Amino acid sequence: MNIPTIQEQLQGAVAKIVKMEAKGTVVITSPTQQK
Amino acid sequence: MATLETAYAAVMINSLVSLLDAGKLQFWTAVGGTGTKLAECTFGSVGTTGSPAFTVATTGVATATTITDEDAALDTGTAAYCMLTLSNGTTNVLDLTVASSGSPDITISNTSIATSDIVSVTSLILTLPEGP
Repeated sequence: MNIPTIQEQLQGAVAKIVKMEAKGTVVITSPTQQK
Repeated sequence: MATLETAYAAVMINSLVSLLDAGKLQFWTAVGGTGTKLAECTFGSVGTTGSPAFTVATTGVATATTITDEDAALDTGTAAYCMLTLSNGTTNVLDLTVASSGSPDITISNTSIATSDIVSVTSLILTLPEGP
């Protein structure tokens, strides 16, 4: 059984950070109406 | 390839989002805080709003708490990127794409922001994928 080295695990973790996903929503409203 | 276990994905995402307490979400016309800054919203923090910027994650998914609106947009332009910064408003942590259609990181009701518009971030979720 191959156990990943610390360096390999860190590399994997960094790769995951690079692939981090974000999802958000924003609403813009003018002073008089929703745009 | 190493596998990132769920519990440690949570450790990592919690560590990252803790940097965003009282941080800013700045809407810019170009990436990386270049171009024109159109608006700036503010993440929660224990010291001001009573809640940290994100709820504590138990997996690789972190959800933002209430984000304070920009009451009056700073300038007029087309929003293309959202920069998440530390509380100092200058140190960039994450750059997110902004668009009104397609698959951006942030979906906005209208990319055209005008001075004095109100900018409200109604949701934000950051995900650090688990597993290989």
